[in-house]
Amino acid sequence: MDGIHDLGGMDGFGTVEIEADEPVFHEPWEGWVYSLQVAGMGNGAFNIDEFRHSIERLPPADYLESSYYERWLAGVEQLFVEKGVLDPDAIAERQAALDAGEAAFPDDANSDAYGRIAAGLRETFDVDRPEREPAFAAGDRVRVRNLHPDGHTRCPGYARRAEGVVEAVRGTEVVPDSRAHGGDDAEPVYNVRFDAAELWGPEEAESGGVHLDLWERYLEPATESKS
Amino acid sequence: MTEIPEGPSRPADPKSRARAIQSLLVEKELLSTEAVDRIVSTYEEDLGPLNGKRVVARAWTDPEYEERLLAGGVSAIAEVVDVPDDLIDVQVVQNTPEVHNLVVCTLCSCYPWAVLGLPPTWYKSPAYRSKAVREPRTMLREDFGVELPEDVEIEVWDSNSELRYMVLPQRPPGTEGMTEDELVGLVTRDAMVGVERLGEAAAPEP
Repeated sequence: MDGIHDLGGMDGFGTVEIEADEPVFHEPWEGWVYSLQVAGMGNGAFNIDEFRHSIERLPPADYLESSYYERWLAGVEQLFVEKGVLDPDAIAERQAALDAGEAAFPDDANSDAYGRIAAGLRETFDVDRPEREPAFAAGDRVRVRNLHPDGHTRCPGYARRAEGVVEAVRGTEVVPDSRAHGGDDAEPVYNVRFDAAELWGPEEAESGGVHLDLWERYLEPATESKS
Repeated sequence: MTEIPEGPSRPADPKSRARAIQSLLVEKELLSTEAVDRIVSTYEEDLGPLNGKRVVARAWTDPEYEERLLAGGVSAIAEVVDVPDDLIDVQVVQNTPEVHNLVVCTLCSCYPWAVLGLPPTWYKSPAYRSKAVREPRTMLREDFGVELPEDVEIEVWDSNSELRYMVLPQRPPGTEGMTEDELVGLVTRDAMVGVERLGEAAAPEP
């Protein structure tokens, strides 16, 4: 989807603000949210591609106004509800009850949830699939197809229609565009280098290049005639 | 056409909301206090930039190791530090006198967490994600105080797949007599992301 998350090359976000000696989590609840996400993936409730897509579905203004872990929380809650793990009314009721001191946090001293989560994580991060014959080889010139899918994609907008050179074939991996929507399509992935001038225009570009790892469906052979 | 369900919205009271979801997941035995503590402490205590620093120092002192490291895969990293090598794959890219590498994730905030820990807030910011691919040289100069010579090319690695990137900085001159352990102290997280360039400026005073 052409969402606000696709930030590469945009203007207007100002100076990169750097916080000295930053803690890993600024507030304890950020660590809780991180753990909710890990629990969702580790228990197989959702996968990493569904999770990224849930954040991309935030309205653009909400996306920009939210902190990083606010975005995570929004995405995690959305997925637990969509996947039928949690009922939205039950979340609201529990929140009100805990806030009012009318509910106690459940006792979990004997839970073995951690072991199950750790085992499940290996599955969600296993993106390798049986090898498929690659259509391109290192050294080939390729062009990024002009795709605007409604759903999730890992092809950034700034690379569309640009030509680059395949530098490496990474192997066959599950396609995020598929796995974010219930599928498990697998394709070869290629590291492609784009000259900065190809992406940003010869007048504006700084020297050098940008590398992306692109699934085969994003690419087509470069056309000879392109000027 | 893919049917896209309506999206979420910004949570009003994230601390209280997260607590409520956590308590419901605990009831369903999908999460536990112990699991939260272990997940949080993994990032607060175990996985941090020290892993990456040790990998860099080894590469600086062992040419055969450097070759294995650059050839790809997380296995060379796992030779030096304890990383969950079944959960992550890392490609190390090498700075040279001619080339400076910079790592970003424009679409979200993918980061080589096994070697650098969780990313700092600036790495996740729209400002960094938008500028790193388009005006890396200007951004390094104006936002990070790094002035790269004009003849040094910048190669940007946009981490859009499950492969994560880490920069192998150049070993600073004047460090020939230092041990691997001493070299660990010269490496910085920022140099391994590419927003700092180790070199003359990082050499210790004679």
